[in-house]
Amino acid sequence: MMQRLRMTRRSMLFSLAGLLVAALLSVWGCGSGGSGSYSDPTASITTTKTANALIDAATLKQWIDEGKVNNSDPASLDKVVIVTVSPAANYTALHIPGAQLLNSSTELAINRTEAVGTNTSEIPTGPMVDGWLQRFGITQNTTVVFTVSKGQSLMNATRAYYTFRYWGFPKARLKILNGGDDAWNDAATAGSWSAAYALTTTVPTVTASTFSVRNFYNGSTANFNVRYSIGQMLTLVDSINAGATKIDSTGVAIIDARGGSIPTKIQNAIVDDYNKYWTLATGKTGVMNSVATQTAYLNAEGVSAAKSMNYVYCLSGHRASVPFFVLDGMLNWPVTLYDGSMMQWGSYVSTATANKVAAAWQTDAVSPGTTINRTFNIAGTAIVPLTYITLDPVANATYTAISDPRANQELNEDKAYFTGSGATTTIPTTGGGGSASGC
Amino acid sequence: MTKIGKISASTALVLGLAAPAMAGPQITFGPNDKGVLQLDYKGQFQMLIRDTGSGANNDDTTASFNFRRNRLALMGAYGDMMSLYVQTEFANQGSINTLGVVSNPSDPVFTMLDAVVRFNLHDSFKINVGKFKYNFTRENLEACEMPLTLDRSLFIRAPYVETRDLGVAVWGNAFKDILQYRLDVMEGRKASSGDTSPKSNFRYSGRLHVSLLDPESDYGYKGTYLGKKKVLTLGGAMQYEPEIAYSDTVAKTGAKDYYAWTLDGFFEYPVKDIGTMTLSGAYVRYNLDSAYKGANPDSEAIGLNGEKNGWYLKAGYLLPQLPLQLFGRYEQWKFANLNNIYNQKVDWAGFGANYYIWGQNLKVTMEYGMTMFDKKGTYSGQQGTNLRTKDFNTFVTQLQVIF
Repeated sequence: MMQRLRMTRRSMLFSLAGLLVAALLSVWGCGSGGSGSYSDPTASITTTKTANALIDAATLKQWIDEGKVNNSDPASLDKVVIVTVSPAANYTALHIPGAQLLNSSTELAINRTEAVGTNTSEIPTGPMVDGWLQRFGITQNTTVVFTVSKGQSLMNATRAYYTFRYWGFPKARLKILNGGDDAWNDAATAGSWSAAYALTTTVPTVTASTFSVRNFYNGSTANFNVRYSIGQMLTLVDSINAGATKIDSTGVAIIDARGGSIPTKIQNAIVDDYNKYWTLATGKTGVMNSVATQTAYLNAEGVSAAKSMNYVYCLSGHRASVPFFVLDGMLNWPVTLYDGSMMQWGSYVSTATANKVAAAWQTDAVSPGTTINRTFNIAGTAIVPLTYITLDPVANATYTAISDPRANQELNEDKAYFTGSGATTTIPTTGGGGSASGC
Repeated sequence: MTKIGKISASTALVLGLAAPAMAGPQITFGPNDKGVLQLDYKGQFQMLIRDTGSGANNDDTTASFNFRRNRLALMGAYGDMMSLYVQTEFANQGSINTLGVVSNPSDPVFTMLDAVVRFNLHDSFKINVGKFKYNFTRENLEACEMPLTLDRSLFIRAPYVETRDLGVAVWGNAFKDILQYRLDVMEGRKASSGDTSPKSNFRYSGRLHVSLLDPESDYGYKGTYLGKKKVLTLGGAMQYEPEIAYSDTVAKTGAKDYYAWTLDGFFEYPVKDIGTMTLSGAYVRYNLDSAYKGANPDSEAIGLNGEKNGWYLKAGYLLPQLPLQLFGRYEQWKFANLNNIYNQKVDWAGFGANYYIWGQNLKVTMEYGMTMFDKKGTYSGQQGTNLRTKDFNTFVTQLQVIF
């Protein structure tokens, strides 16, 4: 009898212990990501989520009304910063309330060395972009809206979009105000918005942030894939000429977005025109065409969602930013921008007298193992060399192969800064183009 | 019983400690030898092998000797009402730590680990004043030299404090030691100017437990009683400190409160000729009011001792005829941000054995532990650049001496 009682008591104790364990596990949710989970604030876009990266004036007004613009609440997951990408004089004259200036004349492009020479109109460095971010008060939870001053080209907004994408900004955090300040002004008039929404000369006072592009580094440097160097572009063209890379419906496309009359182009490039992506009204900023119109236009050029990659270029890399934005921000199709564009490509020719590059780098040469030239001569006359580069004699003698990884200096430098694994770059003192007629 | 034996037993009683088999030297003084002082040495010497952490790519095996604990303890009492406990620590900053292997090991330092005066006014009303273990998790309150497994959880420490804190505690036992209560007011986050923290407040803790079999009536718990008691204790605790940290340390905005709670249970039952089974578990949640979501959160609001929650379960089996105890331990934790990874989940599993040569006074422990991360990779962010998160395994052999 006593033994039975002891056994009963023992069973009860073990049951109680088991119950305790079960209760503890239940409280925690059995490790299945229950109430004990935490959120990733950098991935939490709550109310600035839009169908694509193009927004209209009404959407921006709503964000202003919700107090998101230049919001100093650190707990906010959807702070909005409006950046006017225009010359300083235009911004000073009038801008959207709360908007801040990114000077398209002095900040949007710089001179940088790549391959065997220094090129103009290249992508800004990490320290430069960090300077913007901190000046604008941008944090990890900020959605950036790019616009341009009245009458300015939306191209500068797309160039800023490309630059931010290159430096790691997620697509969902970048927007372009369709039609720029003109569209804002027109919407305010048409909607009889109050005077508080009128274009203004008042420059907002914002609290600077400590945010850096380095905060985006999570072990991956894939963000830099949106840009191609000349070495990568020459390799691509040689590969297409050799038949190793296909340009059929599921292959790659090269898109020349310069527009106008062009005497030469990169071999296999589709002749395009950046002005075809928007609708212009006299004296006003262009209004981007709809997704359906953009899709139909590109399809007519032989470019579709099935393409494995689309390489866009122009003269300086600025006009090419327009199809870059359309493909990346509106259509979500793959796209890479050849940043040096024709200013670099056209300067790397064999007929150059000053700043003549070594044979391996010449863009008017026949691709190795083929009879196809790297450049297509549309006019059929002698190719006139461009003179936008300054040769680096040491690099020209050292880098004898286009595949030499050392010749991808901008990428190497930017990756080192982004990952924190190398010395920081110095900010070049000279600025390049970037005005509305930059390409 | 001899005079020394009587003094030793009374000292142990007053100090709330089990009489050690090899207690250190004792000094008596004062009228009727009412004053007693005892000096003990407590050491845990370890050999650690981790399968990663060194070499050019930090992928090679790392080996290290380390003093996990290296202490001199001075215990004193005067009469039955007042006692003193002072303990120094030779803090040998181990090269192999919870999350990895350090790049630049720091020099060891001497610290004053405990310095507490204890007033035993009544069994149901006792006061501790000084630096001592705060009243929150059972795991932290378990004696460091008497855990069931090699050590306490690597992940259970509360934010902004070590295992001890400065303050005052009131505690006692009631209903024939079935119920124990503890209340304390402690320093919490070290008082600092507004440049560092929004306010300087005390931290408040409250803890209750019920012992359904043999009582656990001391201030410190044990991870195992080696079959000398039958224990079933269920406990819970809460902790609170208002406005402890900024969620944006740059703008000095977003003052956040700290609050935490825990539930725990301990069961040990010896069965004649079969052995002693031990089972212990707890859940704990440390909240910092989502400070981690801020633009520039306080560095200690994130990471290993920042916002987190998790549980552990440990089990042991002490053989009946041989002083060998086999044990296993499993833990799951979720961290708000660990090594720049949000919502990181960590699984820890380990097993091993204690061999009690002279009880807890001379013991050899071996443990093999596996640390497994849900998300892996190298990330930069608020906690530093290029922090790598990678699974690893650790084997530890430890010799414990209490003298």
